[in-house]
Amino acid sequence: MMRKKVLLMGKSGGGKTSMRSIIFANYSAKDTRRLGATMDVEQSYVRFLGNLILNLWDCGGQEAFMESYFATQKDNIFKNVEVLIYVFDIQSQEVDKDLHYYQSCLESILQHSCNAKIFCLIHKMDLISEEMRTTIFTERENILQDLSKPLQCSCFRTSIYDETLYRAWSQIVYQLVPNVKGLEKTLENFAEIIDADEILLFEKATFLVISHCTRKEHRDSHRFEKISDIIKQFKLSCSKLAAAFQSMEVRNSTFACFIELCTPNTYVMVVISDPTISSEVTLMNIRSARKVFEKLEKDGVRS
Amino acid sequence: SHSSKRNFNCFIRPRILLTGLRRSGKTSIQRVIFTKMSPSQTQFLESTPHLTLNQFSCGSFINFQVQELPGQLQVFTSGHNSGSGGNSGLASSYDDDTMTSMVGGGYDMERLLKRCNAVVYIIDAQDDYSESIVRLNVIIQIGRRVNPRIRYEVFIHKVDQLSDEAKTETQRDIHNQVRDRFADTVGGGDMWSSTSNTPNTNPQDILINFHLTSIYDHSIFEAFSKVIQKLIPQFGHLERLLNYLLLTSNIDQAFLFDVQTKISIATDSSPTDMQMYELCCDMIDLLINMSEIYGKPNDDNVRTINDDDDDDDDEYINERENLNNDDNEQHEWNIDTQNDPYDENNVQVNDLRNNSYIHSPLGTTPVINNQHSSLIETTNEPASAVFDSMSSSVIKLTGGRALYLKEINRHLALICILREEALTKQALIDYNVRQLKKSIMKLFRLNHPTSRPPVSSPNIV
Ligand SMILES: Nc1nc2c(ncn2[C@@H]2O[C@H](COP(=O)(O)OP(=O)(O)OP(=O)(O)O)[C@@H](O)[C@H]2O)c(=O)[nH]1
Ligand SMILES: Nc1nc2c(ncn2[C@@H]2O[C@H](COP(=O)(O)OP(=O)(O)O)[C@@H](O)[C@H]2O)c(=O)[nH]1
Ligand SMILES: [Mg+2]
Repeated sequence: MMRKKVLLMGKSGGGKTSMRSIIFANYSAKDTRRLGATMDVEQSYVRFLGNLILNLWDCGGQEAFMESYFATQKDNIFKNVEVLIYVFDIQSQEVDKDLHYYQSCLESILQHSCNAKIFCLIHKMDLISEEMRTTIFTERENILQDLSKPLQCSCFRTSIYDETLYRAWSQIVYQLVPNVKGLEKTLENFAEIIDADEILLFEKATFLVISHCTRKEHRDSHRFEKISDIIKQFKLSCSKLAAAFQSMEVRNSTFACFIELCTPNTYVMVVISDPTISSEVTLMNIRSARKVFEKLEKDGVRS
Repeated sequence: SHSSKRNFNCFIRPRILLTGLRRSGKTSIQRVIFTKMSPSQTQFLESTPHLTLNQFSCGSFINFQVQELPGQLQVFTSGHNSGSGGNSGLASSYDDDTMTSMVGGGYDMERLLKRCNAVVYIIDAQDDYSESIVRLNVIIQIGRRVNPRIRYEVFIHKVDQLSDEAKTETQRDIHNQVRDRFADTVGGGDMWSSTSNTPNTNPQDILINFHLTSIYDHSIFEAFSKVIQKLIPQFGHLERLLNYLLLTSNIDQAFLFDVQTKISIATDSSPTDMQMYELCCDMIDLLINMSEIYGKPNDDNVRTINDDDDDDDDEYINERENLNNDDNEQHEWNIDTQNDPYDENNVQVNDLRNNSYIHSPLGTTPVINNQHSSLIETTNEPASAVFDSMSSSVIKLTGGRALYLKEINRHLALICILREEALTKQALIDYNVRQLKKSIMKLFRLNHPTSRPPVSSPNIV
């Protein structure tokens, strides 16, 4: 078993618990309206890719809690951190105070876990009208990157109401997946054999893309998070009928796309544009590739 | 004779009057259904101060018109029969606050109601709705007099913030209030029929239906589907075709969807539940969204592979004729309008090409103020450039159920719900669906006398 610690911080009401509930606990965006403020630190363990366990520390953002994180609880909270996710509420009226807390947080990280990867999420962007989003985001991003020196931070604009949520979290999770290279190599071989345009590997519970192989250039660089969002939405819809989907096939005259269970922890998606390849053949190929991936997943964690 | 037939209006174009108090959600509903605006973006919408007219097409054969009548407008009834005392008293109660902005304008409710097939009335359930119900009753009373065949579809809207019990309670309360007030003003509840399934045997019956809706989930699409289904004359026939498919192909349920709006124009006659409807909508989203990412919108390809039944040119020619030649349709769809000098073109004040202002918008008084004029918006593009004749999808669910989707024409998709075992005979299903497709095309072509000469396209693959 491999355990990795992820810190979630930011002001109260900022959306930390909402995001983690959507990504890891199958909440819909609407469900999050019922969430109450998090008291102190709420730890959760998410089994991710079978043998990898994410240990999420959702740190309630009310001021009294924040103060104690940087005082009495400091060692406990900031040691062994693999990833820090700091959430900024775009609606916040107290930007200076938010930045001040972020700085305190960075100091503690520098002291206890100086190799941690840092992600800043500028959140609730749906509340900003579309034309203003880029301007406002870029402005915030510059401020944060300045402030973070000498550490590096990656900034994302997010909203629980669109695919930006998946863009940010895919990047975060990508940092944590063991043996990314091995997976990519295997996908490449597989794609070659079945003559696929593209193959994606999803983590089963979150539908985040953990590996991919692209053999045909694609115009849309944001497609992975869009697909995660699309499929996750459909998965939620199925769950209302107390069902889950097992496999799907979608096509038009120019492509066919198959999503099938791959290992017990992953789904694979195969995109093919050659109309002469029949569904049956592709499905058979996917089934026979399962063993390889299963072995790889086990090895990956050991290495 | 062919050319005279051509002039005859073969499109079904029911008119829907969409109204309700200001900020009740009228514009949001249209934006979300017809222009795919995301629900949260509706909070940036500005209030529409004038009557707007929108043309929508659905399934390429069904066009309909939605007239949005803002709640704050002064509505008057043309003098001669503003009847009962209660009526005028009620009418003024909702006009008071906006009288100042209404100098010189105003809309003739009688005319609007004479010319529409259904009234969709939006009540904001998060607000105090008693004023709204008063206004609804004024409309029903006028409607009863001038056009007893109108259906009233009451959307109890913005229920997303309410608990399930609160929803039921609100619906009951509104239902009762509408009925009681109505009974008061006409002196008895005997003219009341609360379900639309009741055939219109008694001309005195009021056809009224209540729907709980929100733009934040699928309820608004489902409610609008029910409204449209009742206005489509072919609905019964489509239903029978779908029933037959169920029988021959071992399918549990079948829906015919307009892909763009996710309005379901027909279903088989078994009862459908909201969740199934929702799942079908999500399947359409899935198909279109995935196709937009991986499918190439290759125009040539789409056009030539597409069914011969689907001739773009004819459709567009008809659409134009429609706009200029509305009279025929009136006979079919409206009663008591023979001598009505009102011409729809008068409403088309802001025609994008010629910006000339013509006559009065639905009012008997001449227009003094241009800001009361209306806009025409048309939504008539193909569903999606990536939805083509080969569009299809099969999804297997846990518990042995499966979903099957197939293109019918460039606007319509068939979605079936079936057992996974039935899919083992997918070739049979495919065949039966092709037959169904032909029947549907034929059905609509009966109402489509402009059938073209035999197709001789050289590019057909
Ligand atoms: N409009 C909008 N609202 C959001 C978004 N994300 C979260 N919210 C809402 O924000 C509210 C607070 O979210 P929480 O997730 O409880 O906030 P938190 O950061 O965990 O707060 P603490 O636990 O007190 O630190 C909820 O009502 C969410 O529905 C978003 O992207 N857009
Ligand atoms: N919560 C909620 N708000 C809605 C819903 N529909 C519309 N609204 C909001 O109601 C407000 C008024 O809507 P608008 O369409 O402008 O009303 P109109 O004046 O009737 O056209 C907007 O802020 C919408 O976002 C709904 O289903 N639920
Ligand atoms: Mg929380």
